[in-house]
Amino acid sequence: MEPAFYRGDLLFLTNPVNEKYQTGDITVYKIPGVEIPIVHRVLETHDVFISNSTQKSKKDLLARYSPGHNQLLLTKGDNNHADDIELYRGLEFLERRHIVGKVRGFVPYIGYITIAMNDFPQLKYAMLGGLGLLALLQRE
Amino acid sequence: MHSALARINNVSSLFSTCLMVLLAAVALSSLFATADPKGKIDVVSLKVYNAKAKRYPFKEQEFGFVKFDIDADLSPLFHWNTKQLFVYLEAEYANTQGVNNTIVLWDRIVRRKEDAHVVVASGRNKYKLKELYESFKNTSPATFSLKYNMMPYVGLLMYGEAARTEGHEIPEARDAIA
Repeated sequence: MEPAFYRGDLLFLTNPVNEKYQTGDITVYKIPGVEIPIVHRVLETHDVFISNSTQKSKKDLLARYSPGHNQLLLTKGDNNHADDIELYRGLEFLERRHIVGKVRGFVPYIGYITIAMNDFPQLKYAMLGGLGLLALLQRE
Repeated sequence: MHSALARINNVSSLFSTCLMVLLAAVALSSLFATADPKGKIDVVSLKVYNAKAKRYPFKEQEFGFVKFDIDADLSPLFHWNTKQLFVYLEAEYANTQGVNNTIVLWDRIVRRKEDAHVVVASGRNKYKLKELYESFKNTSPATFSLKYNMMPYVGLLMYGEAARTEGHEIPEARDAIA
């Protein structure tokens, strides 16, 4: 979510079950069928209660959501012009079950170590080899 | 045991320890900077029009149009560990089904202290104000609040509220025919 977070930043997440999300919270969410989780800010919240009877009537707008206390969320990237509805793959809102967590803190650049190792596997082998070599050579 | 390798190892481990301690000190020290700046929002007008729903060609629903003034000096929030501010105007109301709704209407990313005095005259909502049940009829009055999220260079994100209005009655929808 540039310009707040960039590739390689380490995010600390929490996901308390009984705490509601608020607008302005930065969430990490995962849409079924999409590999990569997305980090975007909450734009709308709707605290709904879905009773079992609403499940039956097809007309009810909320019939598609799972019953009980639920929170419907709409998100948006800070630098995007429009909300994320196009990313939701047909969903109108995110539900709590799509949310991985809320960003509470972060440390920049730490993730670049793993990114570098994944992007250049040679680096990983070079480092492992180097470590092994050192372990052999450095007999005390 | 004073080989070059051992020296490099010592220096690099000292360096990384220092870096970690410094980062922790920066992150922890910024928790004590508790500025709580206040500002002002005025909702100049709040109108509701019937309009075409975006994704459904034949469906109509109500959209709210808000005109507002903002004056908030958020520069006290900028300190040694402030990377940027995310300032947003939020509307909150409950609909007839008792669903509590919060919707962001306007936002701004503030990246420099010089830009932290947020003044908006006759701003309009950037994001759509629309109801889950498509009509604002009989909903509770809407309160508007100006909130901010302070994002640090390293450490915890902070949230705060700079201003809040009284409840504004959401008017009946009008047809948008000129």
